[in-house]
Amino acid sequence: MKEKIIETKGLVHNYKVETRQSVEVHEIHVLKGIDFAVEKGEFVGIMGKSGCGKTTFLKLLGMLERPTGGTVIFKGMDTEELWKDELADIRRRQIGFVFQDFYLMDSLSVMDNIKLPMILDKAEPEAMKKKVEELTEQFGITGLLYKAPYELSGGEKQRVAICRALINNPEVVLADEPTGNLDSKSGQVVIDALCKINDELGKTVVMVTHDSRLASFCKKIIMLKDGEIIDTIERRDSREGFYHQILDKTTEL
Amino acid sequence: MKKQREKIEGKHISAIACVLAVAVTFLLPWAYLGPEKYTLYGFFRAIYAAGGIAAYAPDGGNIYASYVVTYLALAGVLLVAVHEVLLFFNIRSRILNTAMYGCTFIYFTGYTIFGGYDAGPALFAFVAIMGLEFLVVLYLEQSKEINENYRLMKKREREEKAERRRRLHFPGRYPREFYSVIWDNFKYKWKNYILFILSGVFSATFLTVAIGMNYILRKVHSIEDIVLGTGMQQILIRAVGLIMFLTIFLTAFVFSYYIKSRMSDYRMFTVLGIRSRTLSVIMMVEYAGSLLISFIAGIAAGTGILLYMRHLLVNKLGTGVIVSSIGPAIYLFALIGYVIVLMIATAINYESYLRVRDSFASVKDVAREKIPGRFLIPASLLGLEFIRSSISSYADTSIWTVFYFAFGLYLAITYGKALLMKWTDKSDRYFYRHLLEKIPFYYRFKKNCRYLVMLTTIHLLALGLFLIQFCGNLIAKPAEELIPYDFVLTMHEGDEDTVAGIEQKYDARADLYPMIRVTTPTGNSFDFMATLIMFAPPGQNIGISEATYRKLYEARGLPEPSPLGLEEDEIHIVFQQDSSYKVRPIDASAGAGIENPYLKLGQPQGGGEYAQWRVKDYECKILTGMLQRGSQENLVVFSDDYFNSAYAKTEEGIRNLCLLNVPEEHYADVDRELQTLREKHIVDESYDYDIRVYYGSRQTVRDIVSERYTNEVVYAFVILMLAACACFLTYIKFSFEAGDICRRYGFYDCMGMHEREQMKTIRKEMWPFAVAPVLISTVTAAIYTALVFRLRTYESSQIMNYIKTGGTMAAVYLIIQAAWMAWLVYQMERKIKKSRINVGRQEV
Repeated sequence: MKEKIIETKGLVHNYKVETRQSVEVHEIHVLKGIDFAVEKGEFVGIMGKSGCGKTTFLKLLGMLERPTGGTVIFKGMDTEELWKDELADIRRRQIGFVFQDFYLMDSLSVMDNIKLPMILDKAEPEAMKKKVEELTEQFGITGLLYKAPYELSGGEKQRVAICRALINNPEVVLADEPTGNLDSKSGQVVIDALCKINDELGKTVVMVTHDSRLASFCKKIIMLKDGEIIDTIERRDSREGFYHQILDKTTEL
Repeated sequence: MKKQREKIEGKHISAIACVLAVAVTFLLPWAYLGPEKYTLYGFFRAIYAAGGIAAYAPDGGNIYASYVVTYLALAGVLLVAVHEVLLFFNIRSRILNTAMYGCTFIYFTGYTIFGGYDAGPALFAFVAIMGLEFLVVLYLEQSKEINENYRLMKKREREEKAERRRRLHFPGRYPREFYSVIWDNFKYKWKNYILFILSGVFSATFLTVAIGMNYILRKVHSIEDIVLGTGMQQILIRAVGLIMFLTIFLTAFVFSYYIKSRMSDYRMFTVLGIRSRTLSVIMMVEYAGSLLISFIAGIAAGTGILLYMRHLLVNKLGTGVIVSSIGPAIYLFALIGYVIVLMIATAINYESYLRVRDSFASVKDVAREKIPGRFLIPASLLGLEFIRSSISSYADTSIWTVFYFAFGLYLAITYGKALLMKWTDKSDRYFYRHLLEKIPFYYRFKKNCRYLVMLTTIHLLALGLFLIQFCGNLIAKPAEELIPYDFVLTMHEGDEDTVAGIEQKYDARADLYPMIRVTTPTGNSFDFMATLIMFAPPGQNIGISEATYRKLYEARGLPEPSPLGLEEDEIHIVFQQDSSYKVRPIDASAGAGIENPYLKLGQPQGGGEYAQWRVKDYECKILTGMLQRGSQENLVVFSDDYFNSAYAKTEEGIRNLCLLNVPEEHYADVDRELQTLREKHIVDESYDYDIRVYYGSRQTVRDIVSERYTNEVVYAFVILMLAACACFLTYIKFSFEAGDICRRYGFYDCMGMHEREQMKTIRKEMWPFAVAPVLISTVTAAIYTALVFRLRTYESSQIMNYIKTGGTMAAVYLIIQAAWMAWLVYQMERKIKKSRINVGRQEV
């Protein structure tokens, strides 16, 4: 049995929303007690309709939000028991984030954006340089290093974000709709990159998506509906077959 | 084991205490029975030897009672014995303990009451020993437990700390790239820093100038009464208070925008796993650095303004008055003030600071602010009531009235606006029709309401408070006209010779009028704050007859007044003041008011009772001179009959009012001569150091001139500052929001909204933030001004004068505000146009 990287037990998350006149405050139950585990080297997709809690779930896995109930266990450690700076250390060293909106800092060059997690980890300049060169070459963005993020196309931005996510050699990459803002060609480049991360670098990838085609690249899919996992599909045969399987399931949703 | 040891220790102590108590009780000869002294044992023995109590004391009485209670002592002794035995076996019975103490205590008390002897010392010694025993045992049993818990807790804490240190160990130094990233990020947002720094510069400049003016003018005035609310220092102190208040809110407002602008960067660092201490240091360096730069720049700007103001004052007031130099104390106090302002502004935004460092709080930043949904009608009505009562209780130049108003405005705007939105939003047609221009309120309701309240308050302070003060000074009569006589004396019986001598020697002219000192229980020159901290001295005014009143009119060359027609219980008051002050009641006692003061004929130190009088009428006229800015030394006119009879009864104290004019070259000589009178009647000045035996025109004129000029300079500065503050506030708001607004209009553009429609919408969105505060404050200021006309009893010519001066200045102020807003709207339109999709045929 493989090592569990991230595990959730009875994960609950609620939001409070107000009406237009703010007279009444409603509580929205986004996640309703999710038990889930990601094993080392898996490529897991999280699917579901809009508003089913996919992004919230990913944020909780990445320790970017505090759950209302339940626990997130990272490599056997209950994250509720960890200090804030320990969580920061985990985010910096063991998790890479790829967001739909890229979240690159316009004030910095592409190179500095990629380096940022290493800079925050007090890495040696030579090591940073070497790692940046290595990654940008792998993802074909060597020529963009001295540009500003706002000068890049969407696909380029996302590849920069992937490089930034990988720079500290994390165990897990959490991707939230990584192709959501991209055209199909750029999207393909990004998904190829994520597959490469998983297959060649052996990283665990957890990706939120609502795109069945994109999801077919994953090895396991969990289907969320109204804050609950309603199904788990594992890829056993060809990608094409898996795609149709996912398509059938999403139609049922 | 340890616990067991403590228990045993406690029992040993207890046993020792018991032994001591028993020894004290039984072995010492405390009992005095007649001439004999006995121990307890000795007492029983003596009774036994005598053949019983009846034989020992055949007369009975208290000895019987003493004998009975002695059995209690015996019971106590037995209990002590049992207690000791139990203690020996490590058993401690609390009930037994209590019973033992009880028996012995009652025995002693009983003996003291009934016995014919003094057991006091024994009683105290016993109680003390028992009390001590109780406390020692308690301490041993409980404090050790507490100490042990504390020790364990500390140990746990130390271990946790060590564990935390081990887990969070993060060795090494940040690479050079780290600092370059921070610097690049800083440079990229330099405009926000500039605005942030500029707000600090504003605060530091205002504080330096206000505190500096206080400092350099502290020696200008001869009659200075800070506590009583008169004089220049009081004006300046109020200005400092106001400036502190404004700078706090301005700084807090800018902080809130600044933090928001930095939030995304800090959040990104947090997501990427920056250490919290590192982030705190970055924030602290940015924050403290900006504020330090602000302070230095503010000090420099403030010093420049101060030097210019000092130059103006020295030129205007001449060398006769002392305008102090700018000293280090100014900077020290400015620094203290600045730190206070920053601390409060930071505290107001504390939650936002915390949120910056919290990676879990991303939702809170983008979430729209809550619009109040409950208590809308009562809170709005309460706000309106505050506004109404602030207007109806408007006391000339009161800063509290404005703050009171501001609080009412806050409630009325916040809850009233929410109520209005609730009502209007019921109609979907209305809601969707006005949605775009109302988005700021739907999204940032509280911030926008606070902005409206603050801007309205600033306008109101400028137009409804300081402009009134400023114009009152401008239209006031020249100081020389307010002091028509060279000297005004209040004379006692026998002073006539001195005055006659002066007349003869210096070719002077003295007019003597009969007067009686009229005292009120409470002088009117104090304000509310003064009553909180000190005793207010009695008011002192000049009582004259109607005939004298007419003569004074004549002497001033004024047209003859109409007959006053005063009854015996009626008075007429002549307030001697200029148009920069309101008419204040001569008696500030509760229930007096302007119409019914309590008066006593005679000086404060004399006898007599206060009685309430009816003021038939009053007027503002200078007959003897504006001696106390209209707060004291006013003329109280009685009917001739009443005055004559009262005057006849007055044999001691002030009897005459002397108005003395002397040739200019002899002014100083006469002043010197009058000093003898002052020394003679120095007791007249003892009750209130504002009151003088005589008033010289030169000093009084100089005081008035210097005070007025200072007023003008200070008020002009404050009005300018308020105008700048209002402009800056608006600029800050729209500068920080520009990015969001442009994005939103870019979206409208994408959705196909015409450019003209966009421009119309942005105007509709921005202008209310300028128009509403101006409208509310102008209307309120107009009401305040009308009230001031009444309070200061302005004549129509004065009102016209005021309207010309004040109206022009208010118009200039409003035009500046409107022009500024128009420029901001224009700039925003340009920015929106720039961010539009650049396709299609361009409009020419």
